[in-house]
Amino acid sequence: MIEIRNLDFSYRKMPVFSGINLTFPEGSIYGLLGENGVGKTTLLKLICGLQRPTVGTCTIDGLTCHDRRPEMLQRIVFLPDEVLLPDNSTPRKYVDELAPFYPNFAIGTFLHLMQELEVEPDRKFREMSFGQQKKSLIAASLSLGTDYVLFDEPTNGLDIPSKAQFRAILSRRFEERNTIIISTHQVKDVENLIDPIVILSHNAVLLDAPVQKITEKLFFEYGGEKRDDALYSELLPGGYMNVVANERGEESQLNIEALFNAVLRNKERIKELFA
Amino acid sequence: MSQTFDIKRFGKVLAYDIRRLSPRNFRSGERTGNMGINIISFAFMPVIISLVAILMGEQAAGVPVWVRWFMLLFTAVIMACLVPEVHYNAVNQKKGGSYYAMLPASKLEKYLSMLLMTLVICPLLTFCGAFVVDTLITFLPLHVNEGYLWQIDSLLGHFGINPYEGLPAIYSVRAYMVAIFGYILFAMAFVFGNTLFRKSKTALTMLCLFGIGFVVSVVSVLVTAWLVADLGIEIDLADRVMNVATGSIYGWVNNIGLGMQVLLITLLVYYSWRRIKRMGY
Repeated sequence: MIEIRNLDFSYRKMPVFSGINLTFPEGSIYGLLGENGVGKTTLLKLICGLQRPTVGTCTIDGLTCHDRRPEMLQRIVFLPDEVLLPDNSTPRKYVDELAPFYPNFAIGTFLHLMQELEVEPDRKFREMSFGQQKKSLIAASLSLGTDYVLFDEPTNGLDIPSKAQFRAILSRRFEERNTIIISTHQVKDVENLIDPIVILSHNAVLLDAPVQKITEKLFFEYGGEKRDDALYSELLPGGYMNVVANERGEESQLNIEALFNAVLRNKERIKELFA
Repeated sequence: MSQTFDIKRFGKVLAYDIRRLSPRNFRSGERTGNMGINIISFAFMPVIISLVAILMGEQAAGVPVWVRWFMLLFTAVIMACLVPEVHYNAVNQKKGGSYYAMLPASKLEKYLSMLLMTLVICPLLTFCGAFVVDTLITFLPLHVNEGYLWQIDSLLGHFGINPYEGLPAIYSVRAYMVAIFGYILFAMAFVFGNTLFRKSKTALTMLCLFGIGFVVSVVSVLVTAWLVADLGIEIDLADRVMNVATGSIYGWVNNIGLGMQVLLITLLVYYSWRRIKRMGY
């Protein structure tokens, strides 16, 4: 389990987080959402131990993250948005180099994923498009056999079929012992995949709730008139989509983009609703 | 299993570093540290010298053994200076650094592997490769080399590092130690520079070393001038003292030099380790 307690973090004099608390228990694919610059990548780096909290703690299974002990590093893989790849190397050589460090690494899984993502494992990185490189890294990350997988904008650079493949692979390969955290702006790419959803704002966590709780508290109404009591409204073909407080306990289909906008525009109201 | 240092895991890190040493990992022409290029340039240097001599109308004279030793050691030292930037360029950079930092091994294991690669493995590989090529060239009937590399009586004597060869063996050992520690100190400066600068790491480290060297030289000249002028000390006094009690004076000078080198190496090791340990990405 990943636990963040009373964490403060700042880049020199620019505060990013102030006293945040978050818990990521095993068995879920978390969606980490937020506007540009709120600290989504920083939060992932804090979890990986690539940044040190100014105050507070961040632990993985009780191990302090910024110590970056081998025992902890063996359980986690982080795929940043941009990776510096050895141009003349190939995905197969890349994982061959990493394999000795990860006892649960499975070459069969890697080759299977590469095949599914339609990337040749023996092709040089320099001959690949950005999307193909990304797919290779996704396959490598998922075949290392770590309990914790952190993705920063994993669908950036992927074409539409690849995004669907990514969702399918993640759903299929996900196990109860795993914790996957996906930080993204492309909420449509991970809709129906991420649950719970964490929305960050400057210095704080605005929402941290499973989809079931979100749909219990909020009602997503499609095709009606614009409502005055709506937390967020958006004109779509065929009428308005409104996000309102679910006072009558009605069931509705979550729209992450609308949720995100509703949360950003009604921070205090959302806090009250989810308290 | 120790979380700070485990020999098996250290072996894995070293093997990982050696595997990534392959030129395939570096875009050709982008980096200057390609070991093969170094070895080839060194090995063909005598051929080039002879060709230039022939072109200038001179008769090709074989390159003396000590000159080739100098070139060989120089190549190995150059390699030690280049390895930090070429092989560990990303340690303090956002993109590649996080990848290296996330490798499941302790910071100490990664750092020790880096030192071993920089100070021993890469220069040694360069040295051995160049030695083999030089022997082959000497063996061929090209007459560009004057004898084999092992046909040398005293290496340090040729470089003027050990002018006291007639003295007991301990002074020669000290002279070798000064040379070895000097090499480590020089290479460690580049390891530290690699953690300090983000771009043009080798060039900037070199500039800093030139700067420090310049300041030290100016201070030395000023101090000597002051000693000669104000205190009336004769310039050749030190030489005369050396001639009277060569052994003890030379021993003391060497000890002070060694002490300074050890102190500076310790500082560089400490600060480069500290920077790597605290690096955020």
